[in-house]
This record gives sequence, structure tokens and C-alpha cells, in this order.
Amino acid sequence: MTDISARDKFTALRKVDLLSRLNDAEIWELVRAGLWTRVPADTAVVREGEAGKSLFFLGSGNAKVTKEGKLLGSLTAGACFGEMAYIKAGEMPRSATVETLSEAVLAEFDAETLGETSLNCRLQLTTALLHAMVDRLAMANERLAKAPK
Amino acid sequence: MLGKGASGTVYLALDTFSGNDVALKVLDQSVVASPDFEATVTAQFMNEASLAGKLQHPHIASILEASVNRDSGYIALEYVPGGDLSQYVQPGKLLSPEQCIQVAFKSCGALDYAYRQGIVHRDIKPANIMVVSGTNIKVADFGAAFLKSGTDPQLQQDMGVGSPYYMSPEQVSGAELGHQSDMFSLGVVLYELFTGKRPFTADTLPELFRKILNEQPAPPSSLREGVSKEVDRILLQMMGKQPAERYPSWAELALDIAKIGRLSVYQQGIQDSDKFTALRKVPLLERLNDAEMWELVHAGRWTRIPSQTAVVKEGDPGKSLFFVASGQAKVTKGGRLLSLISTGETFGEMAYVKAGGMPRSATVESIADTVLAEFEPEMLQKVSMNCQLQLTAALLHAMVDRLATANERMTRAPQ
Repeated sequence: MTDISARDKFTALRKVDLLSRLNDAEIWELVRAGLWTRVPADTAVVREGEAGKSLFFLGSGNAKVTKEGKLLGSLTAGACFGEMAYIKAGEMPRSATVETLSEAVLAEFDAETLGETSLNCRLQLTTALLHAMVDRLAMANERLAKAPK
Repeated sequence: MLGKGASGTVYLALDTFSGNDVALKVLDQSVVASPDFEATVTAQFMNEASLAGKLQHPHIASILEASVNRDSGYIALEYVPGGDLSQYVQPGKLLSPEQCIQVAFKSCGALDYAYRQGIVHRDIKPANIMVVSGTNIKVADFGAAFLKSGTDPQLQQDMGVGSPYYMSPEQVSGAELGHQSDMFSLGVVLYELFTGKRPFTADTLPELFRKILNEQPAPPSSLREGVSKEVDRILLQMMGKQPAERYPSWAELALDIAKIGRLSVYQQGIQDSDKFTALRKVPLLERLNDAEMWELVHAGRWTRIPSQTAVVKEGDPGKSLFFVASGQAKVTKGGRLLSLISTGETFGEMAYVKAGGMPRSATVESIADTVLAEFEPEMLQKVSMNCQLQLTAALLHAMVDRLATANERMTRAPQ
């Protein structure tokens, strides 16, 4: 979409916690590599069980995450979703549905578009995702350890 | 000046742009101005050199730059300070059989990599295998074979070009050269390295060629004490008269060489070939190429530990990542056995990723003699970015798989 300025895209990605370890040059690479879209409210971006291999950042707006109709959480600007299917490059179906609650700006990335970014940029993004996954795994392990056997 | 070769003079030069020492080979005027050196040859050479220039391998001396025209030509190569293998083929200066095995294994890996990029060396000889230090070698002069005048060995010898001692039967008879021709030549080099003697010698060139084509060399073990029958078997197979009698691939040869390295009775520490083959068996590392694997071989801390040694303890701080190169270990948490870890498996990933920000979540204790490769975040920051990216991506895949399993268990667990 032409109505999202490069400056807005940069600001949006710079606000993403997951990308805090990337320097400005690397963020600019992502600005150019991403597929940017503006979607209206009540749009399903990914659907549980469907195939998919892209990673999304919510540039602006809000979205909700549901699994089997049950609300799991909500996402605000700066949130990231779709990581697992992206990492497994389509081998793993989407584990939940993400639907916009308001008009939203989305940045979408897949392995091919990211393959064109610099080695540095890819290493930083991969490292950031690895940290996020380890944190999530530690949390899951903790919950499992506490769960009644 | 570093030396005078078949086609030019090699100088030690300073690359003023990068600040690195380079070996600058300046081609002789007679080579570039010779009638043989037509435009097509120039094009072929540039083509070959640019292919060879793409070779990035820990055991290959990189070509940094090459330029040839009718008046002059040069090739800038990575400078390797420790001389070449010809210093070790004199009696009294021979390397130990164990060191020879390591040189053999690394040369094989380099030639395998080059062959998979579509390059046959065509001029393997001791002077083309450079020494960094110890058994750390770099195969040099890829692509330079094009500078030798044609394939007529007689002509080459008349011009003082190349060394006929390392030629394969197919090279002697002017046939097409393939990776198994390099294998024959490497066989001759290794024979000389193990024994201090050349497998084929003669006073005249026709006599030498006759021997290369027809004669079986004496088994290396008959020429030097300490050389095993296994070495005989491998070297003689490398020097089979027909390419089909040699090993079909470098990988198969490398595997055979690694095996005798491991069985060696003199073995003290953990050999590089063992480290490399151990990491090759780690499923987590399967996406790494050979060059990246060698980086890990050198970056890691390798230890041999007895049975019943605790490697990491639950709750302790720690930041290293471990691979089990051989042996077996058990994983316990709160005294309860969680799983067994054996050869090729990985542990300590989470504490490694969080660089010490997360305590060890379980205890890992060896239950047999075990060889471990240990990596700390700081050690891995020194490897190439490509290698870091591949390893990080591999860990990321493993973590996502584990997270998916955990998520599934959570959905099934009573809320």
C-alpha cells in the first residue's frame, strides 16, 4: 500500500520489543523487505489449522487471538504473531486465529523476502526469535511442572 | 619473494586496502604472451579463477583476486605462513602417522567441497598443500592448473612445468580428468608423506609414465615402521589404475580415513577428524555446511570425561551448550530420571541462549566414558556470521519443536 510512509513503517518496527536488538540500519532493511498492508476491522489475518509460513508484526491497531473459539489474548501495536509457522516454513499449521479488532497496519515477512536482507539483519532477527521462543518454552515448562499430574 | 613456481613468481605482498598479507603470484611474461595463451584460454582461466575464488573453506587457501591479459597477469592468494607439505617428505622430517592421517582427512574435505562446487584441482602435489601450523593445512592453487600449457605431459616437463610424479594414469595418457584424478594425486602425496618415498620413481620420463600406468607401488607399511595395513589399503585404493578402482567419492574416502584415525593405538587427545565426524552426526547441526562445521570443531572446548561425572547441575548458573560426541549421559530433575542423552545429542541450549540469565533446568551426568564438545556464547561470537546464523536457526527450529510439544501437553493437561 502506498499510503503507509517509510517513516511510519520504520517507527512501527522500531517499537517492536522483539526487534529491540536490531540497529536502525537493520530495521530499515526490514522496512523494505516487508509486505505492508492496511486491513479493516474484523479481518482474519491467519486462521487456526491453516497452512502459512509468514511472520507478522502489528504496526498499528488491535487484534484478538482465539483458539477453538476461545479468546487467548489480544494484540496491540508492536506485537508479533505467526512466529512458529514462519520458523517451520509452513510445516506447522497456524496454531490460533488472529483477527483485527480495529483498522490495522500489518508488516508481513517470509523466508524468501527475509533471505534478501543482510546476514547481520537475519542473524539478529533469528537470535531475537530464539530468545522469545526460549522464554516461552521456559514458561510452558514451568506451567507443566506445576500442573496436576 | 616467497618462491618461484611453474608459471610465475610468488611474492609476499601487503594488501593496502585490507591490511592483510597476501601471496601475490605474478605470471611470467612468457606464460601470458605465449601463443597457447589465446583469448579462449584467458577466458577459461578467468572463469576457473572466479569459480575458485568463490571457494570458502577452512582448508582451502582463498583466491582473493585474479587478473590476466596479454601483457601481464597476477593472482592474489591468501597468505599461509607455515610453508608447504614438501618440508615433511624428507626422511628425518616425517610427520607421525597420526598427523599424516589428519592431513589426509582435511585435504579430502577441502577437495570434496571444491568438487561439489564443480572444481577439480588437477595439480595436487606437496607444494600445493600449505601448512598453517601443525596438521592445519590449506590446499592452494585451485584453478591455476589452467595456466599450465595444455594437457601434454611431455610438453609440461620440457617446459619445467608441473611435477610428473603426482600425475594420474589418465593424466599421463591425456584423458579427461575428474575428482578421482585428484584422488590419485593425493594418494601419491600421502604415500610420500607417510613414508618419505615416492611410489613411482624413474630416471626418465617415459619410464616414470610406464610405472604410473602399470606398476603397483610397494605397500607403505613395508617402508616405515608404525604405518598400518589399513593405511596401505586406503593409499593403494586411492592409487588404483582405473578411476573406478578408487573411492567413488571424497566423502567415502574421508570416512575411511577418519575410521583409521579413531582406531589408532597412539591416539592421545581427540583428533580433529573425530571432532568433525562427531559434529557431523549431530542432527541439530545438519544444516551447517563443512566449512561451518570446521569452525565449530575449532571453536569448541573438547573434553573426555569418565562415567558418573556431573556436567551441569540443576539450579546452577551456566551458559554453555553441549554436544555429546560419544558416550551417554542421563538427565535428572529433582532426582527423577527425565531421559538419556547419547551420541549426537545436544543439551544446555536454554541456558546458552539466555547467556547465563537462566539457571540449568536439570542435571546431566555421564553414565559412560563420554566425549563432549562445549560452546560458550563468547566462543561462538568469534565464528563467521554465516556459521552463527546457521547454528541460531538450528536452535530456533529445535526450540519451536519443543514448544509445540509443550503447548500440546498443556492443552491436554487438566486446567
